[in-house]
Amino acid sequence: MRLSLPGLVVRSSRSGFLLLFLLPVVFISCSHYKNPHKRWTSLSPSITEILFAIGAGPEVGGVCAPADYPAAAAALPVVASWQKVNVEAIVAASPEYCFTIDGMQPPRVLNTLSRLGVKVRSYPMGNLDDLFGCIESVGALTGHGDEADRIVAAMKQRISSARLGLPRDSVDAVIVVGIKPLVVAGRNSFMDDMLRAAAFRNSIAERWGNWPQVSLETVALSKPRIVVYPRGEFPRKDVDVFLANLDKLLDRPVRPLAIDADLLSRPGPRTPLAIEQLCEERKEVEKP
Amino acid sequence: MIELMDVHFSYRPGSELLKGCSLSVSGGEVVALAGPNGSGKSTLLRLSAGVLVPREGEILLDGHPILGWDRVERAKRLAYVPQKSRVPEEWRVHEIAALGDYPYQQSPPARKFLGKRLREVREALSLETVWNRRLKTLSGGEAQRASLARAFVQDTGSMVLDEPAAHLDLSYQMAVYRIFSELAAGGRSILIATHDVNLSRLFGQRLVILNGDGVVKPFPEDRVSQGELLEEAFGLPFVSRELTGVDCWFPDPSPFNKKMTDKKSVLKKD
Amino acid sequence: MNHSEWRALSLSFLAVAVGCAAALSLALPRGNAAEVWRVIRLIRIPETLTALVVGGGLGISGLLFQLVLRNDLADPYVLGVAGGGTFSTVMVILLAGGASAIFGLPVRGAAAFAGGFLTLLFLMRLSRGRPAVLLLGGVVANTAFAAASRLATVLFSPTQLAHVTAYLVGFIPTPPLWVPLVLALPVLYTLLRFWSSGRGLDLLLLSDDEASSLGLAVGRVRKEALTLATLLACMAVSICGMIGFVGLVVPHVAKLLAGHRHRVLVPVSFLVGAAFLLFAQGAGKLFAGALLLPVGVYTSLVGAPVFLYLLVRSARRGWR
Repeated sequence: MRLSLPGLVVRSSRSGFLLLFLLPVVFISCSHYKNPHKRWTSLSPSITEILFAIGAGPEVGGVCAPADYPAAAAALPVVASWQKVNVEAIVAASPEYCFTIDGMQPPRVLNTLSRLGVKVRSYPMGNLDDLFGCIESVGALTGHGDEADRIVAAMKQRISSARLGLPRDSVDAVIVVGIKPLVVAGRNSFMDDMLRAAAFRNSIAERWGNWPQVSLETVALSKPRIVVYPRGEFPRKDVDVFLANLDKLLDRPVRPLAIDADLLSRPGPRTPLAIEQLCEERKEVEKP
Repeated sequence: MIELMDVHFSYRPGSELLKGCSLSVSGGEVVALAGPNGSGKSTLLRLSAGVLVPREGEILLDGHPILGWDRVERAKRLAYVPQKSRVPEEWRVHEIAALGDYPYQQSPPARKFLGKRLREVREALSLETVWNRRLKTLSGGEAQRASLARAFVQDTGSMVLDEPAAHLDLSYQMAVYRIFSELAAGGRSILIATHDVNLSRLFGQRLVILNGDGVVKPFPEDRVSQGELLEEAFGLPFVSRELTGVDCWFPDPSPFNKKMTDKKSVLKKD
Repeated sequence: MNHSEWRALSLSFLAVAVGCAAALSLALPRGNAAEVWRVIRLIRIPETLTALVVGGGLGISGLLFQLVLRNDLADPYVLGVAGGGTFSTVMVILLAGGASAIFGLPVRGAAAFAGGFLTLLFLMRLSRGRPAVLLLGGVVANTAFAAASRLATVLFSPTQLAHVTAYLVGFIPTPPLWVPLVLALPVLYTLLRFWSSGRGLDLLLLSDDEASSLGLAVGRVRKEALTLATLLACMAVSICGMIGFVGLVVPHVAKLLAGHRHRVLVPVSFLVGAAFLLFAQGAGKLFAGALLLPVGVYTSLVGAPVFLYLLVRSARRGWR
């Protein structure tokens, strides 16, 4: 059946436009869902813990993966992960504030969010003071300032009491955050500051930046006394092999310390727990 | 009308191919250019069409330097068909023919009677059976006629064609030469390159020889000079026979036959 | 225009309409009417327009490259033009910092064009018309530029590594509305230009002698086509990074649909390219979840097998 040329054009255009008219159908079907209006969105697991700790948990509308603490956070919709953000979900939810920490998401995405009318606050997280400042600021912006100040005071108290009786001088340590490839915490990282608080010195910090990928020899040459690593993050076999190889290169065997992964790598209200473990280990080291 | 005056040309510096060629094709004339391979026939034609620039000498089209013409205007005055046409094989014959209309589309007023012209050309070249077929399905002769169709559609006062009868069978060869004579009778100038020294003269057309020295020589009137010129140009002895009042020349086969019976050649079986 | 050409135009226009519908409406987040409309207005519409213009521009670019270089396998990605353009864009981003994000678009576009053009010139010089060398050189150039981009990022601004990596794969950003509208200008210009002079493009398929004896300014038309093709490709690259294979696959599909006359091939290539990218964008939305795979992944998934097939076919034909 030969279709006439004008007829063909008209038919195709009509079908094309017809499909575009389907858009309102889709639009309406999607827009029946009533979002309970939530005020805050968290783009970082640290921020999630902070928000729940200061009592703003019920007002949080979206969280960042992995959302495993506290338990209530696991039930919330995930709108972000490391370096990725579901911009549409956030724009649809239109929170009052979107909180994150520097380095979690690329600046481009955060710029896009602010350009689309979402208020974004990104906090530096290079040391403990940054952490306290972040908690206080989040508290002030969310109207939970009092609770935030209380939390910060409690954290400072806990850290001070953990530091009682620490020897004066520092001992070399290294924090390993990745085994294959071998990545360690470097200068200007939050973990570096955690080490300093427990009277350790980051043996890698002199020469390298934030999260350097290094070789086994580099770690060995820096002669650390302690190797800290996140528990449960790596297969047991990899850790054993790594430690065994390191021991071969050092004259004195290194002391491994496993700290829960979330405590170690997620700056937040539970950080004092990690510092406590580090301080205990520091006190152990000097004992003959 | 095409005029070449004392044209020198070389592709590589140091080895000159054309050493002072002069040739003129006036309105109403068909000039056939013959010569051995490598003598520069195609080069001379490309110069005549304005595709190449001579090192020395002048080339005139309709009284003005050929390269001085506006490109489109020149395309309306001169059509060029090279030996090998590079049309993609998906194209259909009528599309190839319609390419000849391009110069008329470029400047107003556009030619109104393209359809009529196409039909005329189709009939003249007997392309009815292949008119809608793609180039890749055509024989060499049909493809050749399709290229000619393009030039005819271009409807120019001068035409330069490089071996237009190359892949054509005898009947089409005769038909094409007859068409050339008709076109010339209408006042056009036609320059063709050919390997055949007789056919054009049988149609009353003028023959010139490009010998290995890079110079164009007109075909002489008397038989003896004709034979000498051909022998000098092609390095072969020629014999002539008369046909309809024209002396036709053929390479003398006897030396070749003798050589075959004389030597113990590789080609003979033991 | 004949029947099959009209049909091709209609079909490809239909495909674009479907693609637009898909990119605009697939996997919208749940919410009330105002919220969903905000997403469509602020995010979907600019993204869809960008995909349309960039896809269409890349389609035309591929067609022109394949025509001028007389090579079925040419496209801005394969020729290393995209690599060069991406590298210059990345350098501008790294050196100018965050400020270059959106406001630096003219600078990025110009840098991309310079990088892409220089790469093309260099490779054409190097290959001297041999198609196998040209293609190989393009692939090598792409790899080299990708590595150089990564190295430069680590040296200058390591925090931007993820951003630069996204560029190297190709993604559709969410730009302000004026960005696709500005990019549409050279695309529209090219469409209009070759609508009226499509016959000239056809003539480029003939030998230079024949084309010029028919009145075509061969050198000028070829240069113009090449420049426009590079411009379109580099503008696309400066916004979306190295989206691969669009320029390669689209002209072949367009020729299957519409024949070989460039007057209709140019708009059909635009439409098919736009539809291709719109569908890739829609697929990205549909399969995303929180994964959010960049669109370059989908185009490569489709384009790479097609490229392989064309490569084998071309080698069998003796690189004609």
